[in-house]
Amino acid sequence: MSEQPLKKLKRLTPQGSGRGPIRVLYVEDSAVIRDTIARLLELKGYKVNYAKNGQEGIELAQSWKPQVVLMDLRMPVMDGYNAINELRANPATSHLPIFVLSAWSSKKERTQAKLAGADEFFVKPPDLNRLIEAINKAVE
Amino acid sequence: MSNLIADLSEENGRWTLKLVGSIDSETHQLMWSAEGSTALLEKLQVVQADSLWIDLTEIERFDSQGLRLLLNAHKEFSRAQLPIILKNPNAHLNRLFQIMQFDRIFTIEFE
Repeated sequence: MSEQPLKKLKRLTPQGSGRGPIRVLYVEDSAVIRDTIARLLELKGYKVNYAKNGQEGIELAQSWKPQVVLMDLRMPVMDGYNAINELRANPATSHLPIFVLSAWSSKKERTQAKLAGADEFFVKPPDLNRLIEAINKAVE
Repeated sequence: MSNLIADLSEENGRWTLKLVGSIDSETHQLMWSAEGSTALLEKLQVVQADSLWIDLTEIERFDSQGLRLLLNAHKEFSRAQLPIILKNPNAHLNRLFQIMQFDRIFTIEFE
């Protein structure tokens, strides 16, 4: 049964080269932010799984095999910088597009994220159209 | 101590859940009454309601528990093709909805 349409958003395809819904792993410790972004993406047709910290994110990236990773930076247990480093160091996950979603938007944060290996940096809450375009482009 | 009153009513075919008080960690479980959102959804389906209006006019406090509650309800009600309309959030709450992009998920009406 279809869900009610998402309002105000441009219709952009969430399909990745005919392989079914794009799988997005969202690593974020704030439940309400995680639920909101996940819901917005689900309504656009993405399959979303989540982890509550960097360590869980690494484990899920290996077992669930997402096509894109969205990563918060400041989290308990393991922060986003270390998680990105580990994902990049592992041949099984080194290829994954990783987009940082952070409430902190200073030049220092952006530079450190890029040095860790992040592909894109979005300030929370992200512009959803821009995020969706980046996800779709990354899995083309 | 927080308090929440949730009152479901029907007028001219419009089903409205009016919330008065606070939705936070102490009260969020009261929002759908003891039976939970599924029971409310089933009730609305039995009476063939075409939507649920949630009247927020008299909400005093609304924290992350309330936001999560709305998101979960949206997920559940959308599967049943029953839209939720949020009515009259105050300026603070409306700003929160915009920041969290709830205005992209829910219809928000002011009357």
